[in-house]
Amino acid sequence: MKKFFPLLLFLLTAARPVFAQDVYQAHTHVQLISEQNTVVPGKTFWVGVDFKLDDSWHVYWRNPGDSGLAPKIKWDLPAGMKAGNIQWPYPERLDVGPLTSYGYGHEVLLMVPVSVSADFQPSKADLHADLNWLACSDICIPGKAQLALPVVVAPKEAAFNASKSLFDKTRQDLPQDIPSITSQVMPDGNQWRLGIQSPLKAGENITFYPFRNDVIEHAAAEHSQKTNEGYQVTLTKSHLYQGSLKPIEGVAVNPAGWQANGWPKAIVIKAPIEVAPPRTQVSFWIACLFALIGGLILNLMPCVLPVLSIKVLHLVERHPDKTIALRHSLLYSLGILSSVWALALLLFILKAAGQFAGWGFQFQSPVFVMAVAVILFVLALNLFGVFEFQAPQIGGVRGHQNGYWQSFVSGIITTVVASPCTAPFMGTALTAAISQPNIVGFGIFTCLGLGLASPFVVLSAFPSLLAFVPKPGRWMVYLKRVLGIILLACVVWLMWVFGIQTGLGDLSKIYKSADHIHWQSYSSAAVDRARQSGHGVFIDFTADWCINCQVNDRLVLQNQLVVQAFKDKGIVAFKADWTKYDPAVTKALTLYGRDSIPVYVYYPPGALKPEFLPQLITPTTVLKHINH
Amino acid sequence: MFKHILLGIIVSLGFLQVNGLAQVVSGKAAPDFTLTDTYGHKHSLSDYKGKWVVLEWFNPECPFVRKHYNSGNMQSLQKQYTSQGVIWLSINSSAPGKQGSYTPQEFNQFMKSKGAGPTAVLIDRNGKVGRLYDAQTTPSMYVIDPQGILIYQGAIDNIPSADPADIKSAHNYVSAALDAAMSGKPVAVNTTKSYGCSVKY
Repeated sequence: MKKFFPLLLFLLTAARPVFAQDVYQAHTHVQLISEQNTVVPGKTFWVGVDFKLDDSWHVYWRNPGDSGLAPKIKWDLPAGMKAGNIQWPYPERLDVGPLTSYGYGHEVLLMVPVSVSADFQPSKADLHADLNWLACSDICIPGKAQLALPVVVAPKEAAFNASKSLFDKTRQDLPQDIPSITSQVMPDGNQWRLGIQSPLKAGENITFYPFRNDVIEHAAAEHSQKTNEGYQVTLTKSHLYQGSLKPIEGVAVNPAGWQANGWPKAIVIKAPIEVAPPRTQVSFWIACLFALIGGLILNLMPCVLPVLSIKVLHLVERHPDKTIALRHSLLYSLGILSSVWALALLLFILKAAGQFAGWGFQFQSPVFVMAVAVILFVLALNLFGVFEFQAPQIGGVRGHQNGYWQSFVSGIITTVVASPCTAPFMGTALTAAISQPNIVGFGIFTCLGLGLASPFVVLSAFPSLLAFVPKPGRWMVYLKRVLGIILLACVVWLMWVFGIQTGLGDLSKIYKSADHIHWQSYSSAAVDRARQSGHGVFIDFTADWCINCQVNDRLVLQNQLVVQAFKDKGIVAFKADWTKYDPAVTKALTLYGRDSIPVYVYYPPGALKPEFLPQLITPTTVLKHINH
Repeated sequence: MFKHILLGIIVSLGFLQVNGLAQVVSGKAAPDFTLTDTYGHKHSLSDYKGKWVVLEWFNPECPFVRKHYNSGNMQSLQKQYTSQGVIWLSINSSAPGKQGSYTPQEFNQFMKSKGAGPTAVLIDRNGKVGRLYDAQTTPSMYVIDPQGILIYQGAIDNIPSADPADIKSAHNYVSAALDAAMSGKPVAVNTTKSYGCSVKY
């Protein structure tokens, strides 16, 4: 019998009886229908394949999901008639064990427009369709049928028939393109965040059905929430996703409807992929200018200023001779430049090795912190007059040459102690330096070095400026003492950093004021949860070795107005601590497109996109952001 | 200090969790498993280090599997590659009582009646290995190189249908991956979406 079946089928269908057959196969009744008895040349009419399924059986949507197969229609139409694409009503989610498919149960009409040419002559026509479909309950059976439909061609008016109501009902379920509703999608780790901007937020839960099979994990739990602008749907990225940046297309279903009249329930989504928060791309020259200014400002940082001052004092004290002063200045500048270059080289090597590192990363090493603390301590002792640098011999070199060597080393020390600080303008410049080709990056780092060396570059150019510094005298001793105290403070701070890095304990806990922001340690999952629960979220990327971070923390984030505002607004605050290397924090920094800390990120409640606060914050700037 | 240790533990648990959820990825090591075949012999993937391995998820009653067995397509692939030393493991993950949950004898009968020649038919009654590999449909194909690296996962070919007539014009991903990799060339397509019936977990 099995062998004869195809033959039988062939004999049966070869004659192609011309009436709208109802075929029952694979637990499905299928029928080709039209809503019109007569069709008009020059116009388009609608036909459809009507699937009526046995209980618990279903057919599939255009994207069947994890398993299954969408129905296929192959048309055989008379010349002058042309069939368009299937109009797929929005599907339902079919969960089968660990798998999820998209399809229809009970009944579905797959509508297809057929255009009739204006010069269509025959008064009658037969439409033929080869239909292939797969019906499944817990098992699957393929169906295959050849369907036919006769139509009468009338020159004037179309006559509708009883099927029209089914067509109209189906039209209600076709996804609509509503231009006023916009959408975009942001990749976030292994998730997609689909933002839909809709003025009306009637429904609670939005379901997204992608057209392609390789975009989301269909079976993963889908989460949707209301936002200020509309909705955010959190989807899990498919392991098949190849990372193309084509828009993500599909259908979003709102059970309460997308418009005030409750219609349509489904809209077409074409969401462009937004690459993680916008990075400010600046030109080389702007970056260089910013690096110069940033470098100049770095000279005012508490650890740098004493080192700088020592150098100036040395020049005034010992080398009133202009040419010698010039040489010292140049060597000092060279010390700065060469150490900046060394740092840049190291950063680029790490970058090439796939590691992420940013400005000041070397302070993540406790050994380095200790070494710097020792150097600063020795310098402070020197300032207090405990010993003189001039005395020890370095490599048997004496006198002036020894002094030159010292100038060079001072330059290096200046760079080293400057590196835990980020001055205004520097963030932009450094981001540009790290994200651009290495040769450009070197240029920007050179500008930074020149900025840092600029006081001495200026002195070298105009040695007569030294004359403005008062003649050596008693004031110098006092100034040295003051500078020494500042250096000792730096040493204490470094020891504190060292203590935290090595787990000796956090001395700062002693000073914690009674009322402060309740910080949680950063994790992207915790941030997601807080954002999904509708809270504003504030993330502080900080490190104990980052002076600006500490200053901002003391002066701004511990400010009582700020603390109170955080409390009043219910803002969830996260500290992303980079004191020691932390892959999660590093990854987060990369996501936000930053290479240096501090970074302050604020998500207003329900917002899709984060706001970035400047690197130097004031209570006013923070309050402005969170009260906005 | 204690807090740091605790945090460390939580973080590492977090990573374990992530790893547990991580899917099988082409280019990475294929996870090891042990299953019993229809003759009662145990097979571990690690037993076949040094050999090319094909995993084929099948369900004798699924129309998509029938497409490839009734046409002789699957059998010819099995013969072609096992004769070149490839280990071909046909795995069934149907839960007890679900479609395709045959007894070992019935599986042997099916393979014999179809003239099929896999190296072994493995029974994954509790679906553990199927879920480990995230096998969603039958058929689902996986190709593993002698180093144990997964080099292909997904559909058997590029025409998702239950119609045997499509096999002729289809591009077979499994033979493409095996032919390329076995002659030292890179595999052009290493991941696709499989098509077919749901695995009857």
